[in-house]
Amino acid sequence: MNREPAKRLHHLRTSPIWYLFLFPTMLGILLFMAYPIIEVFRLSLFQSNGTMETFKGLANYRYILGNGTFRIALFNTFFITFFQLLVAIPLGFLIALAINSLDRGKNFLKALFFIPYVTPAIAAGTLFLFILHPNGILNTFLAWFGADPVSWLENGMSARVGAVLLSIWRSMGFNVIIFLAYLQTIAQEHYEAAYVDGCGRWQAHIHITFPQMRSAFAFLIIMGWINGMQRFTDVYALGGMTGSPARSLHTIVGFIYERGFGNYEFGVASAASCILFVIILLFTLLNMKLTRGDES
Amino acid sequence: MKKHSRLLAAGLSGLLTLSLLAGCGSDSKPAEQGSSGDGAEKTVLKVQLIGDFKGEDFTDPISGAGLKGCHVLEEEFERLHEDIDLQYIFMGWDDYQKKTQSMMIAGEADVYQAPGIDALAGQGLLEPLQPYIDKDNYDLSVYLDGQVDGWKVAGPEDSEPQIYGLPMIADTRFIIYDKQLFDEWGVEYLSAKPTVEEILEKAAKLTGTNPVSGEVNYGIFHKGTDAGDIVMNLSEYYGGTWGSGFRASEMTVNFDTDTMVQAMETLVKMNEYAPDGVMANQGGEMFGTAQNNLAMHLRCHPAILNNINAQGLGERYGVARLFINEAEGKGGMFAGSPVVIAASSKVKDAAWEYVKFVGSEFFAQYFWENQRNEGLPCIKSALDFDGVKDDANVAFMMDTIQYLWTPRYTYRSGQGRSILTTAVEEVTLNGKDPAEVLKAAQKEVDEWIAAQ
Repeated sequence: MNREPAKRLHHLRTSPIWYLFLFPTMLGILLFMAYPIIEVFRLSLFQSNGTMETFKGLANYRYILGNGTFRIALFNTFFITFFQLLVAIPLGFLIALAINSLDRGKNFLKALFFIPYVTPAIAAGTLFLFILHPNGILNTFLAWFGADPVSWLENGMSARVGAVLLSIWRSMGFNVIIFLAYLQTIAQEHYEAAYVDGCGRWQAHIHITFPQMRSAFAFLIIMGWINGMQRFTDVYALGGMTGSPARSLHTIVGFIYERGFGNYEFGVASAASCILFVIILLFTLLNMKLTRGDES
Repeated sequence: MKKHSRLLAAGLSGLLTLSLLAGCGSDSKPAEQGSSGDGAEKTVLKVQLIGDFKGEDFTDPISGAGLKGCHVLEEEFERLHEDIDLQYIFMGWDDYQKKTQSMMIAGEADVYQAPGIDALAGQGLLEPLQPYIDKDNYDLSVYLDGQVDGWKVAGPEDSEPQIYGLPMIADTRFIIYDKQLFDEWGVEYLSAKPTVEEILEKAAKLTGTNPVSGEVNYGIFHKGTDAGDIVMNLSEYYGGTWGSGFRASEMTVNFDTDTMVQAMETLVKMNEYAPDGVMANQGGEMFGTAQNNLAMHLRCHPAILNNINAQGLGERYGVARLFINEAEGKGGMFAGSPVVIAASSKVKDAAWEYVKFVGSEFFAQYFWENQRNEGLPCIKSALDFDGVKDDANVAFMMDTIQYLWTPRYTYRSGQGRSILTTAVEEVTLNGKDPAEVLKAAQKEVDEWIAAQ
């Protein structure tokens, strides 16, 4: 009885037809992923304007690592991502808890929170140009509490705060959906047993919900860092190519875009891309480590 | 059954692979020739256009007027050159420079609208036009003064700027002011060539609560993202220049100069009469409308007059020149678009015929009547067009076009523009010392030039 599935599995493993199925995908990966990555690394060793190239060795890397604008871009990228995750993940969790406890309207609220996530970044950025306008809705809201109007995009720190608000607004829906998915995997019997043992609702969350959500938090933190490292479109909508005001919205990808497509310095842009690749790789390794730790 | 499944799987895999390869493949059809339909072979000429150009007839979104598409140009050009099949490729302004370069490398078109001509010529991607001009004894005096010189750039082997493109669209920026606000405040209109002192004095008088409407007015507005250009123009006014050189690797840039410091300080003073958010392009949304509350806009695109006229407000707004360097008799950013021939084109003679067509009265008339939101016509005979000679503002702008700073600012094509923009923001928004900021900017731009 058991030999038939094993035989079928063996057949699946050995049949060459499956390699034929994989071939188009592998070809696509080679052409559109492997080749560009290799080409970017090669270009990073050259001074190139797209048509003329001169070998420069590691000069582009030395230039970038000693460049003040790149350091500012690095700081801005980490700053915006850190505060985005600091607020959006806990808030997303609380919203997910609230939605999960509802009997009605769950799907409506899920859709409502998910809309910003599927809104194109450039459209969201344009919307926030109005929200962050000196006469915009945010200043009107703050005025109710007696606050003076802020020219959000004319001050480095307030512009970064504006970018953090935008990124929180956009990422919240994704966080809520992920948390809800994890919350729905927790067996209701655990809570019922806890209530029988005299646990309150809050204690049940502390001892049952939070421990079971660890991998959800890990996933969102690591994915958030990876996406945050690639931040570009939303801050570009707010601060343009130079990341105005005074480079306070200039990110690593903004640096790559400016040097590559603004100035035709493809060598410098490629070297910056490789550095970004290494940073993202480190976060991905961390992600894998955390995930494995959770499984064990 | 099993055999059929395998065959089906193999077929599907093959189809997927072929689809993938087809997507990567190039069009094997020769680009030079096509069929006219009557059997005769025609030379196919592909021309790229950037911006809001449209092939079919369309409606102006503000005035509601029916306008003609580029098929008019196509029909006229093909009438004049029966052996050529003209095909337009339309492209938006977004990332136009990288798209143009990619198209040139891939040989997608023969003729291009190329505002970023310097970078393209520097890479040897453009065909020099002087031999064609000499061969046809082509008369360059048809263009407005300064227009041909403004587009001269240096190719990889040139020691001096050469003609790689001829004018297609003329453009710059102007000061536009609201006469109604000037009247309500009892302030005399701007002079045609205002001084900085005049601007500051009138801006001070025009800022505050309007004595007639009771609304808050501001004396000055400008696009903060263009503040680097304003500072450079002010530096010209104080006797400075942007620098010199035609290639990024050979240019010298004058950021750390007394005139630039003076220009920065002037911009800071001007911003005192501007609304909050001016450096982030905010606060000027109502300019050009009946609800306007800004007396002067220091840097307007000519197309704003079309919107103003479409609202019936043409009489309300006046035009003045950017600041000029008295010693040189010129000032302000030279802009617009030239038309160029790709070095890779296989139909260069046909392409040259199109370049000449762009300099014709027919093209300019069509452009002015149907596509004027893209800029201004660039030939002298356009001065007599309806809507130019009988509109004081447009006539003034057309005249101004002839006194722009030429050749173009080379520093704007590279990192210099970003460095200057950041420096201006450090001074105007973060209150840093202009001299120190400009010294740092000079160091940064010099290092960048040395690395080219």
